[in-house]
Amino acid sequence: MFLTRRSLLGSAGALAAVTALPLPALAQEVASKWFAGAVDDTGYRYRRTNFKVIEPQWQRQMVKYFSPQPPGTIVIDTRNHFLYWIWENNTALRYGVGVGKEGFQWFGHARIDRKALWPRWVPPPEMRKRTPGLPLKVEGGAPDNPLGPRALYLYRDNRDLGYRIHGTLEPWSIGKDVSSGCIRMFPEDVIDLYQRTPRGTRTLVLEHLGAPADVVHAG
Amino acid sequence: MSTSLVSTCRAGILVLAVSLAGFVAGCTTVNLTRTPDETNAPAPGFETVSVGSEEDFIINVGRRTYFAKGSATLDATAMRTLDAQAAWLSGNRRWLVKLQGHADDPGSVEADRLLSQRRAEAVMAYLVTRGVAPSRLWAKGYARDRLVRDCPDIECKAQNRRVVSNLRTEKDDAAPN
Repeated sequence: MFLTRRSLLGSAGALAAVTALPLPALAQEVASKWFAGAVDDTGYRYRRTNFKVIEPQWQRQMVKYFSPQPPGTIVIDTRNHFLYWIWENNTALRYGVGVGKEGFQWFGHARIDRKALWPRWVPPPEMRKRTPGLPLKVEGGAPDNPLGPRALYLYRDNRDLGYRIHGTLEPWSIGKDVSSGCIRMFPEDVIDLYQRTPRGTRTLVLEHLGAPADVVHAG
Repeated sequence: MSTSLVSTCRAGILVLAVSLAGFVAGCTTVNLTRTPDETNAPAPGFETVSVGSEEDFIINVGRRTYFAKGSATLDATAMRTLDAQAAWLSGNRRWLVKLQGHADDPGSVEADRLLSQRRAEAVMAYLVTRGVAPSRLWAKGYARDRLVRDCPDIECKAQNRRVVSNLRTEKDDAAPN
C-alpha cells in the first residue's frame, strides 16, 4: 500500500502529538477542570483525567459491534473518533480517540509489533518547522511529553509505518481532530489498551472519507 | 460465565427489536430491555455498569493476561494486570475466580494442554502472592480448545496464548474441592 505523506516520517520515524507547550497562568486554571489529581505509574506520573467533564460517548464502554473483522483485533474509525477492541459475540470495547493530521493520512491493515512504556518523543522535522521552539526531543516520562504513558507502534511487513497509538496531555482533544499526531487516547485508556493487546495484534485503520482517490487501499 | 453476557446464549431466538442487518443475536435472558442490534448500541448487560459487578471487572480491570511463545512466565505487563485484578478482588470478596489457561504454541496438542495448565497455575500463584485467598481460585488448562483466532500467524497465536480470569459465584467440576 502507499503512504501519502511518507516524507513526514524523517529519520526518527515518530509521528506524534502536538507538544504541550507551557501554558499561560490563566489557561492553566481553565485546564485544571479536566484533571483530578495525579497517578503514579511505573516510576512516572500522569494527570488523572476528570471523566466527570468528559462527554459519555468518549468514555470507555462495551458496545455491540457488527463487522467482518475478527475478535482479537483493533479497528480505528478516525472519522467518528472511536477505537474498537473487538471481542467475541459481536461485542467490542470502544474507546474515544483524538485524531491528528497524520492519523488521517494512512489507512489499511497493520500489526502492533512494538509497544513502549513512557516513550521518548522526537518531533519530526516538518513539525519542528511548523512550530518553532519545539525541542529536539522530549524524554519519556517528562511532564510535557505528549505521548504520555504508552505508545503502540504500527508495522506492516516488519516496517515501522510511523503510525502510533499513544496517550495525551490534552483530554479535551479526545473526540476531535487535532493539528498533529496520530491516534491519541486518554492516558488511562492507552494504559488499558496496552495491557489488553499483545504484540502481534492486528489493527485496521478505516479509510477516512475524503481521502484522495489515488491512494491505494491496503486491503 | 455470568448469564448477563451474550456469549452463553447460542440459541437464535428472534427478538422484537431486530437489527437492520437482520442478525439473530439474542436469546432469552432476564433483561427484557433490548438495545438495537447495531454497532455502538450498548452491549447486553453493559447498559449500566455497577461497581463490583463482573462488567466492572471486564471494563475497568481486564480479564486477560498474555504469554510469549512456549512460555508460562508472567511478564511485567501481565503482572500489572494481575495486580489490578488482585486489588479489585480484595475489595469484592464475594467473587471466586476460575483461571482458564490457553495455548496455541509449537508442538503437540498434549504439549499445549500442559502449557495451558501451567499458565493458569502461574496466574493463580501470582494472585495468591498479591493477597487473594487460594480457596477462591482454581486453574484449568484448555489447550487449543478455545482459540480466539485460528491462523498460522503471530497475529492469531498471540491472542490465543492467554489466561482468562473468569469470575464465578461457585466452584465447578474443575475445582479440586
